[in-house]
Parts: sequence; C-alpha cells; structure tokens
Amino acid sequence: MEKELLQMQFKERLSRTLLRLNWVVAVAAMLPVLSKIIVGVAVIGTGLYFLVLITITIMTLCVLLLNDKFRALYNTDKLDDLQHLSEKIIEAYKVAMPVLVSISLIMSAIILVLMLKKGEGEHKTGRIVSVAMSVLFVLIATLIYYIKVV
Amino acid sequence: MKVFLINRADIQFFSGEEKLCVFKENGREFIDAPLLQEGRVSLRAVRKPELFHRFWWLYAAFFWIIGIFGLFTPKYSRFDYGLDCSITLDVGQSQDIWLRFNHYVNKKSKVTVSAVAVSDGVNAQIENGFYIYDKISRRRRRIYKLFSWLLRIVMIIAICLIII
Repeated sequence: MEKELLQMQFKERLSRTLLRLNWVVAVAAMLPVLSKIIVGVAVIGTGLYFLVLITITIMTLCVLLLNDKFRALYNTDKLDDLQHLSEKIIEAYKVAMPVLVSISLIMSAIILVLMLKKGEGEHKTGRIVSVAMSVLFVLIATLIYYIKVV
Repeated sequence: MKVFLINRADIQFFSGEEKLCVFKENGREFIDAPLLQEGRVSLRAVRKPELFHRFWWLYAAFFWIIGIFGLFTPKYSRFDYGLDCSITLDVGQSQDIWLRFNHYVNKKSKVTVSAVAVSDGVNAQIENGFYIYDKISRRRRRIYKLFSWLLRIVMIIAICLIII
C-alpha cells in the first residue's frame, strides 16, 4: 500500500512539474515574437516622443534649441540598440526554436503518458487542456517565427 | 457501490490492498467501493505527507533538479498530518452515501476533531479516524526548504563567478 501511495505521489508531482516547465518553454518560444512587438511599440513610442519634442520646440519658437541639453534630447540611439538586440534574439532562436519545440513535445508526451496511467475514469481533463494549450502556444510561436519573423 | 467524497483533497482510498480510483460526476467526487456480503463496504482512507518514506532526500533532490533549482516544482504540503483510518459502512437501503473530510486540526484544544464524517442514516464504524501529527515529515520538509535556498544561493554565486 505504501509503495502504491509513493508511486501515485511521484507521478502526480512529476506531471505537475513537467506541466509548469512546459509553460516556461511556451513563454520562451514566444520571445522572438515579443521582441519584435516590443521594437514595434518602441518605434511608435519614439515617434510620439519626437512629436512632443517638436511641438515643444515650435511652441517655444525654437529658443530652446539654443540649450545644449535640450538639443541632446533629439539624439536617441536606444532604438538602434533595441533593434540590434531583437535581431540577436531572432538569430539565436534559429538554433533554439527547434530545441524548444522538441522539449515541449517530449514533456507533453510524458505528461500524457502519466495521465493515461493515472487510472480509468479519473478526472484529468484540466491537465490535458493545459498541456494542449501550452503545446499550441509553442506551435503558434514557431509558426509565426518561421513565417513572419525570420 | 458509489460512495461520494466531500473535501477529499489528497486522501487515497483502498479496499483491501487494491487502490480505488476517484471519479467525478456532476462536480462530485466518488469511489466505486466493492460491496461485501451483508451489504457492507470496507474502506481504508490513507493520507501521508509526501516526504514520509525512507528515501525522501532522493525524491526531493530529483524534483529539485528537474524543477530547475526547485523553482518550478510544486511546494510540499504544509499539512504535516497523516491519516490511516478504516471505515466500515453498513449500507442498508441508503442510496446517497457520502464521506466528508475535514483538514482542520485544532492544535490548542485537547479535544481531537474527527477527520471523517459519514452521511446520516448510514451505520459506520470508523477506526483511527483522527489525524496524527507527523513530526518527521515536518522536519524533513524544513530541511528541504533550508537546503533548497542554500543551494540556490550557492548556484547563483557560482554562476556569477563563472560569468565574471
């Protein structure tokens, strides 16, 4: 009886741990897409920033341009740095993405096998749905990566 | 014979040596208990903290590693009480039989609270129906927590040293 209890506790903990790791992999797989979105948002933000800056310059009749510190506000290299970082992430994911997909599929398979061994009729719907969703996220991220990002 | 379970949590059921599966129907958990002669159901409800067994350190280390420094492994339950009670139900004509479990232990009171209650109209004999404090499991859980944090700090320092 104790052996059965231990086996049951082990399987339960293993499937819960792997499910959490699966979601971490799903989030990691989304990173290239997220980096592109962040760059896009930064571009829009920079545009708004310059719009406000130009508005202030015009409203002050360009007098503020005589100030060195104010002129320095027009120099922004941060967008280039962000773009560069995003490109590095996308480059790194050419190798990382297949690995993440494989890891996710392997862990999902293990979780499903553990679920099948849990026992007939035992409720496992919630966990199966969670596994399916995490795999779906990874596949969507992979699809977007290879079609749109790369 | 369906025996419904209320507030079961992580309690497992055995009939003899056979583990009974817990099913769900209309949001209610139940077990399909074998009916013995004379209309009786004999069950054993068991709950043991996860770190109760001899090789607990191996179990904990394994999950600490695969859970990436224990960050993604579920926490061990803080309810350090075990239960091992035998329940014999005289079913009679009852159709709706349920067992309600409570997970409350009044540490201050000297009066112990029964872990399991049976539905009305059912004759039941409950042996050892009280939670028993498992000091060893509690100590093991605390040791695990301490070592887990120490090792995490050591790993972070080691990684920083490698990078620098």
